[in-house]
Amino acid sequence: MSESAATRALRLLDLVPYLNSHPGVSVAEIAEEFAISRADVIKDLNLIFLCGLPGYTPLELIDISFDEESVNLHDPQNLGTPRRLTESEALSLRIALQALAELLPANHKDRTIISNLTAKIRSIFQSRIPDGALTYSSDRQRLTINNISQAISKNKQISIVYYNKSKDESKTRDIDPFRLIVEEKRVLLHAWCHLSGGLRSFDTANIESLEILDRPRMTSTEEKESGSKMATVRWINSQRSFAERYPSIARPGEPTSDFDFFQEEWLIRSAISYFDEIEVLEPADIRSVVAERCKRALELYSSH
Amino acid sequence: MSSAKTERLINLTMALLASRRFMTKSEIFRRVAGYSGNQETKERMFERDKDDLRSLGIEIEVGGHDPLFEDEPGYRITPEAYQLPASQFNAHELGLIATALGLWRESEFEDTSHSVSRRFQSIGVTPQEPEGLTLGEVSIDETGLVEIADALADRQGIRFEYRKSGSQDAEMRRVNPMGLSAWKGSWYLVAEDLERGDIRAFKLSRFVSGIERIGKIANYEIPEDFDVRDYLIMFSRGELNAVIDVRKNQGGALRSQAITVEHQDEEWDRLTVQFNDETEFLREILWLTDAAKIVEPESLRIKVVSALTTLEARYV
Repeated sequence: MSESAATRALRLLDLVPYLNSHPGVSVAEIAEEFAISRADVIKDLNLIFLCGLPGYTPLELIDISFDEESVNLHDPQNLGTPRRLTESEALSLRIALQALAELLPANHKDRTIISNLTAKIRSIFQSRIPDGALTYSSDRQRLTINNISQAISKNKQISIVYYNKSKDESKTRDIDPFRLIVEEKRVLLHAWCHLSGGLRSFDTANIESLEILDRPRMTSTEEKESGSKMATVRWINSQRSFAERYPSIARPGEPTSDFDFFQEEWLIRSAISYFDEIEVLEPADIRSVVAERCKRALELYSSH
Repeated sequence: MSSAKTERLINLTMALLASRRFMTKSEIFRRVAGYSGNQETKERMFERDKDDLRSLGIEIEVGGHDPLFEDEPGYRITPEAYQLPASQFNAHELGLIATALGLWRESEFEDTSHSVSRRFQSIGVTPQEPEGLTLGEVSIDETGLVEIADALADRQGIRFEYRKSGSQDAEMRRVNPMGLSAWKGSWYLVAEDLERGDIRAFKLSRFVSGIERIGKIANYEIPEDFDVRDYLIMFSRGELNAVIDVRKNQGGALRSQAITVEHQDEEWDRLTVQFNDETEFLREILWLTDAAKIVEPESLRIKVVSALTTLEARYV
């Protein structure tokens, strides 16, 4: 069974205003725009040709002429203007606009414009979903970190705008990312900086914007060797706040997971903080450190 | 597949859109191409066509035809209800709309977004790209989000299997969606729980089944002053108090959320902190290991000691 008559009708209703604003468009371009085959485009055009207003004389029909190379709409009748948004479409647009506003730097001028635009869309499309029903709070640093991880795994260079706190200035730098270092309060990016011509560490919280470039990053073998170590954890129960917090750690349906880590301190503290979810099995020498730390912390409570 | 039905739907839309008056059924059958057969067949055809157009989001207005004859209702589609009011958006706004819709790339909203984008662009104004904006490969989607947003738009109930925080077992929940909130990369549904009779928040990552629609479309209203933030713990102020001793120059994250910080002795400061989520707070304290010590509440102190005791035994 192919598509329903209603779905096809909707496409035709959208095709007419599209043709209206794209005189001379080719059949191939229409096929791509509407994600259908060229044969289906021809069928659609032949059907549009038959539609019109009551009376149905040539004066009242949609007037169109076409060949493979060029489609021309001479009279759209009353379908020349595109369809307005449905509630679901308006909602998806409002969500996307709120997300966009959140992704912009805090002082970006477009943030206010977007907020007014979102309200305007709600009012124009008479949405029954109130403004307070949708909120979007992004985690810019997490997005930054996700993008860096992607660049590293795809071996791409990135361009960042970095705020240097001590100099109080922002600069655009093209860098080759090597690795992310998770510390208690910050996540550092270790990279080769082409602007300063050397190895640098960047605090990811101070990366104002980031773009993955279509250029291969330099992979330093030295960096690789001194970089990560392998950890093995056992999952204690089916809770997953640890896995949710560090999505790069895969959790298959098995009782243990292996993953790369860069900082022993991070692994030790994770073992303690997520005591109810994970047990660190490897590296084995970390285990005695965890025990020792806990013993010291317990002494705080037994001394009184 | 019958092209005849598609053709009739287009003709009906065009006729209702062209008519300033309400068109009665008999007028529609007489004037719109495609209605044939006996009266009963035509009636059935029309009822189905009407439902089809409504399901596509095309609003058909029903009204009196002539005040002197109250026998037959009439139908029409007003241009205001059908057409995109293009002139109300400037090039800058159209650029922001196009960029925002790009965020749904590779999500289930992708086709919808593409169609919406095209319609805005059919206006003939070239959208102006927002300045200084590089979004990289940002994704705002999460499994289930699109289905829930659609149900919310339809104001129709849904049901799904849900695993509560701290629980291993899932249970079936039946809810009326009221709102959606993204918080640090996770989506939350705020919905009226139909069994429990109150409004609750559900984290999308804790759904363990697909989402099924229940009840009718437009089955409930969402109050104009409804605000998801009233139901989400991260937007509320801390309700629980804790007093914690923290070593000098340590526990930076805890210090930044403290209400008071008092000098205790050479080694320690005493902090008063408010928190909402005990589990999260416990993790924060444990992260600091021997740099923090709970003074009160007693319940939290017991949990920290118990966790540390368990850990020491496990790792020895």
